[in-house]
Amino acid sequence: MEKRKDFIWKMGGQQGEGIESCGEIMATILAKEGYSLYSQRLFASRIKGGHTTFGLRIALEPIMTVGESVDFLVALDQETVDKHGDEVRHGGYIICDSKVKPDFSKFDGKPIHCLALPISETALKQGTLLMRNIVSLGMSVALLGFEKAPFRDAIAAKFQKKSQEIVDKNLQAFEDGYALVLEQKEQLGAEPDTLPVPEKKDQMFLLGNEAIALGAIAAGSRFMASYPITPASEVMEYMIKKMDKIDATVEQTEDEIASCMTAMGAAYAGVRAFTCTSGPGLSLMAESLSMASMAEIPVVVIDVQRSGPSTGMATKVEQSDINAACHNAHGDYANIVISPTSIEECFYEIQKAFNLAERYQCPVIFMPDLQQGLNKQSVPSFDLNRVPIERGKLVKEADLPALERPHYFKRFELTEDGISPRTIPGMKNGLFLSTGLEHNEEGKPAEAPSMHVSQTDKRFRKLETVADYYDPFLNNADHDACDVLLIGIASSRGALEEAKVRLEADGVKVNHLQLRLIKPFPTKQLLPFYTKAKKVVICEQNATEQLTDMFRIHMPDKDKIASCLKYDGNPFTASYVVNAVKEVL
Amino acid sequence: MTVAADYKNDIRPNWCPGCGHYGVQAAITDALTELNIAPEQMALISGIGCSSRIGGYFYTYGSHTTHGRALPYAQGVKLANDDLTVLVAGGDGDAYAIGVGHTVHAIKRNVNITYIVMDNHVYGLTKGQTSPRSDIGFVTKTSPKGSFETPLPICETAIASGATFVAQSYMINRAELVDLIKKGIQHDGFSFINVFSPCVTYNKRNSYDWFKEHLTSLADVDGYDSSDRSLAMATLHKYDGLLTGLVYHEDNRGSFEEAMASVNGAHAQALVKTVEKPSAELFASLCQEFK
Ligand SMILES: Cc1ncc(C[n+]2csc(CCOP(=O)(O)OP(=O)(O)O)c2C)c(N)n1
Ligand code: SF4
Repeated sequence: MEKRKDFIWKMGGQQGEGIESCGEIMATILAKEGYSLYSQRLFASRIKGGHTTFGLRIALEPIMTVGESVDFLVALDQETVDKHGDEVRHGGYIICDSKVKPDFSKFDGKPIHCLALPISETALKQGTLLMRNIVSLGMSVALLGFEKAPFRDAIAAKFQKKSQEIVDKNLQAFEDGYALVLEQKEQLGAEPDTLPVPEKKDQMFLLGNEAIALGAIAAGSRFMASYPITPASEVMEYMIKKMDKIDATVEQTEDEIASCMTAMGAAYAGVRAFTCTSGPGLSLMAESLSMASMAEIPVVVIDVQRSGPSTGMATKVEQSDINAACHNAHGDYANIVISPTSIEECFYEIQKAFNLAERYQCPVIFMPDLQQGLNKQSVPSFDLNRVPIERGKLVKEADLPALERPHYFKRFELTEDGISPRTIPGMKNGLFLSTGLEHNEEGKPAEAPSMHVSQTDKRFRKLETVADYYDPFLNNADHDACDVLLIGIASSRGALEEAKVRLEADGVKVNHLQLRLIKPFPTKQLLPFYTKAKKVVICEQNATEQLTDMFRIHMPDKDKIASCLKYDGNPFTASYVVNAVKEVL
Repeated sequence: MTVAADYKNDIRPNWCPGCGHYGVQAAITDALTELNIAPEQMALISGIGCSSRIGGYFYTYGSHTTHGRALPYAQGVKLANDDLTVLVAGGDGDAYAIGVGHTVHAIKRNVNITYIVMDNHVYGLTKGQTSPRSDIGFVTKTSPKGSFETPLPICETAIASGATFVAQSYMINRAELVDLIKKGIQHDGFSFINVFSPCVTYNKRNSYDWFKEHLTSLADVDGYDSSDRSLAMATLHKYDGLLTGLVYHEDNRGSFEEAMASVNGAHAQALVKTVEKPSAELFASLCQEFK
């Protein structure tokens, strides 16, 4: 039998039942052991109650998606089996409470092992149903064949603060669950596969949102202004939690207009400033961003995309802010829009966002999606120095030539590359006026037709080199010519990578690019891959072909473009992409 | 020592002859001169409106932002570079209509900046519409039968929002206004100064004569004590808000910066001085929590 390289474990029940904390214990321990992990939390937009699941893919090699067919499903309630039973693979396992009645007819005739066990009764032996999650954890550890000791340690550590009695009860619940499965295993006959113990790796296990916050800190940013919103709040919460340690100022403002303007004021004053929001907040920032473009202010705005329009589905993933990020601000709006292709990139690419903002002196929209922001992945430990701080044409005060009143510093000088030298308040001999009005080289309001044309051209000319400076996509193209060029953004990377492998196995030649740079559109860099593909399939999580339209606008041979859309709020899976590609071929 | 000319650039204001905003510009110049603030240490942040053009008429750093949003921007400037003197200026439309949410929150937050509102009870730049400060019965293009909404009692609103410094003046009272601006700049926390500044073109009702006739100086109000919150409220009510002078101040609350420092520790220097990577030790300790 082929040795397994990965498992998917999923636990489901009602919000507030400790599903997530149970998953966290499992993941934290396995990450320490050296397994590569990708977790996925599915939850309803309410605080207590409502269906929730925690999925964890446990692998020997790094993985980029939670995957699709579940090996072990732990169901605390009927809803979990009803909703997720059909995700269990042939030969997979369901552990459920004895009261739960799986409807096997729905499972497509798949042979599935079902362990209906007295989860609730076992928990009640310790006096509370609240320990059902710990009982289930014990069951899972037994079934997956992991060492008990680190789990016992983690449980003890988790409840130590409460009392020794609570620690003991939880440990007993864990042991009882463990023992129940061991007994059953013998009766099942089949022994579930186990994963070999991997080599220890220097890795971290964290949310995309946490990786973003660490990235901002690594980029030298110690200023954030923000307003809470799902699925972005964790970034501000982390920054505030660490405010004293990192010597930062983080302000929770009255709304997102204020967040954006406060960050802009701080960026104008010379710090690396950012704000973090989701779609509704991005809409509110539109007018401010238009000013940032006009006044050439290097502000970084993070938009963790969720499902829209309006309040939409706040806890579901979508990639439907592409148009808004590129075009929500009025006028001839010059900005940069980038998107990370993984949780690891949330850390490195946000640092580049700060570099881009200062180099090109314009707003940069950094767009991960909910799937990245709110899910945890194991990543190689971060390298603080991989992305150096680059501040572009920021002038040193000592280098400024003397300035004679009433002349100002030419902050908006019409240079060849369109990028002007930049001073900040406080610099002697660096005075300039900053305004959202059209202005001349010194920043004085100027409405002469020729000046508006020159300054507009300058604001766009400077962006011409962005795609050369910034790596515009993740290159996963190993064929010279291919049948299909797969394009994705943000969290779809893992699904696309796995789809590519499956399609190749069927004899289809597939190249895959995961786009990082959305605006300005990297036509020149895409062309070599694009021209040598028979078909180009653009995978995006929205209904309106927002990314596909960009290809239609910026690329030739529009006939070869097809899109693979998904807008049900759930992330792409490899099978979904494989099916879509097969239809196009 | 600086002199008035140090703050002058060569841009001619595009204000109408006789506009009150000229007087405010002159008073700010006097205050800056008397406080000897170097032009490069000063940032004048404004919104949009005739009044908000004022930043462009000073030879200092300045940012002319968007309608109603000067305050959040200015707070960002100050929090990034504490060494700067940050002055914010705008009109009553800017401050009390589109920007009123920011005004109330800036007052509540108490960042150490000074806000000067040029209150002409009308929208000047857009050529004469009613403002949240317009009197009942005031005829404008958008209130042809006379304004019928009750004007916002702004000093009361400021005090109720937790202001630590509330002043009101009339640009004609130059000495009083200069003194209030100086006090405002020196105040530790957010200082709010509402200045009556007549619009000669679109407000013939609240004219220079009208203000002269209707305003009372707090110096002439017997027993007035600007540190007494309820007295301030009662006096404002009694005079229908038409008072000038230092209305209310509270000196020991401490600014936002101080409050934040008491929780998180003070910054050793202005944030802008050290834009650099964290130390390897600090970064490692942050990462350790995810291992
Ligand atoms: C978002 C937005 N809405 C509307 C306007 C148009 N606008 C410009 S100034 C102004 C009002 C000006 O009145 P006020 O702030 O009292 O200043 P004044 O001109 O009277 O000095 C308006 C409505 C704008 N610039 N931006
Ligand atoms: S319209 Fe009114 S506020 Fe504007 S410049 Fe003229 S007088 Fe001043």
